[in-house]
Amino acid sequence: MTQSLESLLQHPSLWRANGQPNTRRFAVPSGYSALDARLPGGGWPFPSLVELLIPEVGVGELNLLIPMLREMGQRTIALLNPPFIPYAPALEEHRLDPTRVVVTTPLARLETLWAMEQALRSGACAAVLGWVEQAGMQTLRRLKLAANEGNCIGVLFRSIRCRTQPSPAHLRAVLGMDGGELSIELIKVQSGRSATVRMAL
Amino acid sequence: MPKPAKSDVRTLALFPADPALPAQPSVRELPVELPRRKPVAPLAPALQQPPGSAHAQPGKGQLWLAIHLSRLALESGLETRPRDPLGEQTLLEKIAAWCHRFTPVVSLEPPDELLLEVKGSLRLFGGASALVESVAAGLRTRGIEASLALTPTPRSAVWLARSRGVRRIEASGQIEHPVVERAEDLARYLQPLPLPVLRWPEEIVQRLVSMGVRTTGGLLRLPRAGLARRIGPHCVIELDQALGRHAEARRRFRAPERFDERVSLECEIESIDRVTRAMESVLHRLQRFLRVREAAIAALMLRLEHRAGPPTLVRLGLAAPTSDVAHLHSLLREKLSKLELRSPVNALRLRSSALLASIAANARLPCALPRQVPGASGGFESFPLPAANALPRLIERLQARLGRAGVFGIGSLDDHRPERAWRATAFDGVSRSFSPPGPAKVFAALGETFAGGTRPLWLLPDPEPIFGGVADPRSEATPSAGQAWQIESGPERIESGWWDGSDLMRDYFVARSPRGIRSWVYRDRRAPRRWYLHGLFG
Repeated sequence: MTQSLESLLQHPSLWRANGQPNTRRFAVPSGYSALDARLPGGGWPFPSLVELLIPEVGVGELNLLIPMLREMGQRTIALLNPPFIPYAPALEEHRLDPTRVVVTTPLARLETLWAMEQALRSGACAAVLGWVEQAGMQTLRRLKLAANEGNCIGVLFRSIRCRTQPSPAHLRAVLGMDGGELSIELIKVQSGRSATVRMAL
Repeated sequence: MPKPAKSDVRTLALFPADPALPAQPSVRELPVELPRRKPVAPLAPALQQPPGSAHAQPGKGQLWLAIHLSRLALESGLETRPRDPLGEQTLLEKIAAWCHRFTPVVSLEPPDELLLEVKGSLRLFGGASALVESVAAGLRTRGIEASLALTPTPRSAVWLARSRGVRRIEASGQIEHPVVERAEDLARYLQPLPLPVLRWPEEIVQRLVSMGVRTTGGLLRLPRAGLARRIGPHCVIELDQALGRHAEARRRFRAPERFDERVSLECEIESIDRVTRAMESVLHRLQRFLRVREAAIAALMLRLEHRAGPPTLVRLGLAAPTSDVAHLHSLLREKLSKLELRSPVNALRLRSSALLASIAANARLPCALPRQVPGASGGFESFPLPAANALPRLIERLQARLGRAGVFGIGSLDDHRPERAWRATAFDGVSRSFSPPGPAKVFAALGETFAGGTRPLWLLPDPEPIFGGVADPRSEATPSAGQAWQIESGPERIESGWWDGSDLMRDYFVARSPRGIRSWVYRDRRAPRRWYLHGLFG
């Protein structure tokens, strides 16, 4: 009885007066149980905009995302303005089909943000990874809306210096290197709590 | 060619009904007379006896001009190129489209001929010879070598044009194009033609040669029934078609339709923004044009005409044909936003590529249900798959702004050298299809136990030298103190490429940078044995 009532209440056109929007967000398992335990729904929120603040390239940011990208099957992944060449043989070693990947050459900041919004909104990609240093509140909000519209996850790699800036992203995390382990400090988790996770990659 | 006999007219035969021939009265029952030297109206009676057949007077009142494109360069061995059937067809269609200025009835005879029915155009162009001359002159100015022939039947015209092509090669003199306006004269012109001109199957030609027949004239002198039995009725019908005794249906060539509209603006426009707005109404008409024809286009050319100076051309090539004008509009807008106007625009012209058939995508019903919100349990299967054209569109849009080379795909190659083990693949609609790839291939077969890779996820485009060296804490021999780079595993020796000049001899290691980044470094085994950073494991 309660179960059928619950399923009725889940109907998307039903709005409940407690103010919570009735869209249960789907979560993509991150592949790391320590991290999944800290994320609401047990994984990366989807669709969403995620901000990863990194001290430098190579800290482990791609390894962190690879299980999620693998989870997405044959859907397209876009890499916009990547710092180096995404190396196809390594992707194959990680069981990611490189032909799923769309890459751009180095871009100017505005062009990267423009391309990211287009890619998120198009609905063609499951994940859009962009490397941008500066992004205003307005732009980030646009990206968030675009990710919702295009049903995909947008990951923005920014410098650790942006930590104090406000951001509308669903999830913000600071990545760091700590004695051979990756530390993930979740500084903003929408409908969740901030926490710090350390794990070996 | 055999010398003509004394008699003027020789009656060949009265054909008996032949079971091998299709039941066509005009073929079976007509007496055939072949003129030898001076024709005394020999064919006319035959043609005037229509025994109640639909093909009663085949080709009457028609004049066909055949254009045979010569392959002089190819055949004389001056230049050899592999044949390009598609290119030949395109060339033929281009010439056919050009030929529409002489007559509306143009027919293709692939691979290298086309036919024009010009009876109705004779007066306009001042007679048959003048018409042939103007076609020939037009082709010459376009750099096309061709031989022409004008006769009352299409097949004989083609044969004659071909034979002129052959003769031209032998004599390499000036061509004069045969013009035969009366059907009675046809046989006289056809007689000397050598058999290869007919382009019959090689074995039939061989058989005829072994029978002593070397020309069309010899062929026509043979008894008809026997000939049909020996070389097949089709060939006999072709002979009849050439002589105008049998009608030949020709498929008419129609030039592919395209959208082409020029709008002259009421006042000159100086800003790109307004050009975009002026374009809108034209695009709206393009939309209607495509919709009523159920067609799509693969390219669009926008030409901005200025008060002075050459026009500005904006070419839009699409990865996949589309009939969605809103999409074209957004792409054009991206293209135009990069443009700088040299001088004010006073007219614009929008021209599409040839139309392609399109299958309209399903539109949404006005009362469509809201999008299903996937539950947490559903996984990715509960999300709708992206539309098939979503990815090509995204790439077109990105390329419109970032340039064609700005967006690419990646793939791996079988090479031991790290720089050559990957490649960028272009998205140009040809080299890579946009069809969804098949099920995950090798990647699933490796199993879940696989953990990490031996190759870095980031590859540096150019290896960066590491100053100060790399320490190996695993061996006691090298002092590790004071050296920040620490080796974790290795070496992996890569020595390859001596055959193509870019050979390398390297020992690769996995190492930690001073700040703890897992990196892929190598030591060049050739002097001065320096260390380089080549990748990051990310």
